[in-house]
Amino acid sequence: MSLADLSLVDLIGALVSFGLTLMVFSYVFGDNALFRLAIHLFIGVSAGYAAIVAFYNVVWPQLLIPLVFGPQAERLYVLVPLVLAGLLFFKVTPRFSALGNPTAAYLVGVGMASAVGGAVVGTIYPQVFASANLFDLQAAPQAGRLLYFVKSVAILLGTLTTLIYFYFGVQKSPGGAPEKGWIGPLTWIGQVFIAITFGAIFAGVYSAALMAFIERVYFIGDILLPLIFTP
Amino acid sequence: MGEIRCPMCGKPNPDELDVCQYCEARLKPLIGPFEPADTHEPGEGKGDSVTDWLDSLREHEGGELFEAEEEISEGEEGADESPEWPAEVASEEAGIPDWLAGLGKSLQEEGETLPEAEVGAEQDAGPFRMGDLGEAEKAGEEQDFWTAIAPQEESEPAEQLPSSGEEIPDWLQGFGESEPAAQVESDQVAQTEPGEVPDWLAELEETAGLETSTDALEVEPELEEIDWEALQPDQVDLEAEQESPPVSEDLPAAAPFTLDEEEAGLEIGEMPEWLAEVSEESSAEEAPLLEEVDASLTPAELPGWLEAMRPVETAAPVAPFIEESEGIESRGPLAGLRGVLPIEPEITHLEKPTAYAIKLQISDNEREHASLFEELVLKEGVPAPVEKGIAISPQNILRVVIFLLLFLAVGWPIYIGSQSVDLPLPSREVNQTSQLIDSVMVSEPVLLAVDYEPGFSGEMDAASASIVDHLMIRGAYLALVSTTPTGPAQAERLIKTVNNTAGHAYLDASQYANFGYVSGGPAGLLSFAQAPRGVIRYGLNGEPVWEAAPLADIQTLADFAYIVVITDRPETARVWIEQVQPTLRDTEMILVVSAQAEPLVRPYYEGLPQQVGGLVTGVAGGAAYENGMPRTILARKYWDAFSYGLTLAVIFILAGSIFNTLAGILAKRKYTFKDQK
Repeated sequence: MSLADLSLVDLIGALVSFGLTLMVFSYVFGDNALFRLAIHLFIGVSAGYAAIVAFYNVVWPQLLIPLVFGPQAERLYVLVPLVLAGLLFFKVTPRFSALGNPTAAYLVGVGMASAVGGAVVGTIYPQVFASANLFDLQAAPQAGRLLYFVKSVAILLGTLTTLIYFYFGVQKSPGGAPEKGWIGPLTWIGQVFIAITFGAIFAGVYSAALMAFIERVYFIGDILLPLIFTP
Repeated sequence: MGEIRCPMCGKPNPDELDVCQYCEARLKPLIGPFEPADTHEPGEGKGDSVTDWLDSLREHEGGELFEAEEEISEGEEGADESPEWPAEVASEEAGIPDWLAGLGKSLQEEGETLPEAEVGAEQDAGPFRMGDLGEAEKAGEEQDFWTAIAPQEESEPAEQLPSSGEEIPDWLQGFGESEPAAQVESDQVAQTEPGEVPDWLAELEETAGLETSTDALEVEPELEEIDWEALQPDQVDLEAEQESPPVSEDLPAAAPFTLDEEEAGLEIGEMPEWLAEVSEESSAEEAPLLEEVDASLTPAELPGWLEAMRPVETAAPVAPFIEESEGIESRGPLAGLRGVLPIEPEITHLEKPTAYAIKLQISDNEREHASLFEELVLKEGVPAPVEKGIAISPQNILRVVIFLLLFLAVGWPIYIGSQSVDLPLPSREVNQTSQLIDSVMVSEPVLLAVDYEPGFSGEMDAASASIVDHLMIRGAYLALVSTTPTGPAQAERLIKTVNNTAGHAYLDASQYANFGYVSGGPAGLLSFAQAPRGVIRYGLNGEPVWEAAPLADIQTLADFAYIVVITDRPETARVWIEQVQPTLRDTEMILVVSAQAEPLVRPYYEGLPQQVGGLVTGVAGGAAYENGMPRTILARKYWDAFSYGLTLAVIFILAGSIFNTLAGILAKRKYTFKDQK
């Protein structure tokens, strides 16, 4: 797609994106005003866009429209969140911030209940069961059952040694001696698994960053190459 | 071994002592040889006329003292010829003891004016004599010495009275005016004829305790032969004391000094009421006289023993301390008692509670830590200053070099349009994902959650484009939703990109619906999973989203054919798995995640039973998915650049590791070499 194919809005957007991309790339020469300007613009635009989306996607359709155009029962129903939301505004002033505590308590309570319940049901129990089922050889594929067994042992070893490292291997005080005896080698194995995990995460982070860089270089190429090679 | 009677307490002491063993008062004067005045046995009569220590004093200093006293009384300047301290003593006696003089005179007047019938009664309470101290002590009465000796000192001003024709000082006249009886006596003194017993001697006799009636007092024959005009008063006094028999033997025994009820109730340091009145009256008259005398005399220190003889009020001007708590009861059966029930006022006394400062009491160490913490918090909101000039350092140069190399490695394949690098083979999870999407029926609703930030759009677009393209190929009805505010826009951009790249014509409302933003985090997502119609009513374009035909039967998220979650963060993937997956029943969830989230998301796919039906991770997963598709979209376009860039990064990492290892070894050898030297 060349610049000529773009509409005026897309063209302006493409030029702004090009300029901001170069400003971000200027960081290679060190921290400078252009880089900071680009960062501040990105933060400001993101916040403003989030506010607009929250209003038009949450407040307007779920609160104001039912309150204004909805039936009587729906009006009474949305009156509760309206009052709670209004009380939340008192958090702005320290003098009346206590009036917003019920709303904040409701939000925190519901959020924590959802998070804890979801963690128990969605992560802890299923992962415990999955760890226990690793050695169910009947569920393993017929081909490569040995490899499946080795893999299961590795997962079990990694899980146990990682837990042992965090529980026994961490020094209780700065400069203190770690656990000795048979716990020491296990914690060392746990450290190996943790190092591999962090290496994989770092590779993923680098991969994501490299992909973002490639995408921007590709975008610059899309902008510059037609300008350079267009007769 | 003789005894010395203490002038203060009157108790006998051994004569070798200088200080009274009872009251620690000085027994021997500091000036001049001291002759124990009371070394003779009691009853010899010498000490009965005047105090013994005063006699000894007069033997040595008396003449000059009387001269000074007379000169002072006449207002002349003859005090220069006498020694200083007697003159000062005389001046003090002439000035200070006015209250005492007035008291003595008043007592004399009372003695003279009282009827004879009352004189006998007064003998019981007559003036105190030094010789009477022993008797008083024998009587067991504890008396203040100065309270008792006050009348005796009053006799000294009386001795200064002119025998005849001399003018009375103004201060004395004023005092006499205040008491008419004293004026009568002064007139009588002025009318005394020569040859008669001088008034001052008579007064001395009287003030010395010879409070007797005029009938009982008979002048001795030896006294009549004395030339009173030629004798000095002290000589007369001393000679009379030495040559004449003890007066006390001839005179009727003086009644022991007794105190009336009022005086007996007084404590040490307290002044009797009558004495207080006299002192108050004379205090006003003392001031000008003191000024006059002080102007003519130079101040000097009093001898210790004389200092000790000063009135109690002068020696101890501070009133005795009485605790406020020991107040006198004014009510009840204990009224009038002091120091009883001290707890009552403390109980009944209502006072405002003590105000404590609300300022936090902290130590300096805590204050320092608080200031450090406050400084750290404030620094968080202050941007670091931008360096004005970009320093050219090896690190900056290395950074620019790495950037240029990476830019060339990435840009060159893009510039030439290279697609020489093979795409990765589809993995098990990619194949499983592809199989799931292959089972999607036309117009079957698929929830597509686009939950990644714009910064990760390059990776996530490449990873998910082939899947979205596959869904479009299958003709699925896409319901776009997001739990991040920027997600709806990213979803629109993804649809547009796939349309443009793969040649689709997916249109809003007919083939897909953008539900927009689901607020509330995990709680909102759980609510959306259980009742999506209650959470989402209108789409991003403001139109009702549930009116579309593919969504007519949707009541929960389990009614969707598949749930495809595209996210760059493992936390978001975990929330979707925890809140939504348990409600899906038979509906499979497919995750398309960033490469950085794969280590934390993969256990949900690897576990038994699987919580995630399909998994595609990063550009590699997208490229592998494209490899299994009949056409390529974004992953193929980026794959060469991604491969070269990743290879160059590996080279950089290895080179940096080798360089750091060699640098460490060289540094270690260098330090070892220095240590060996």
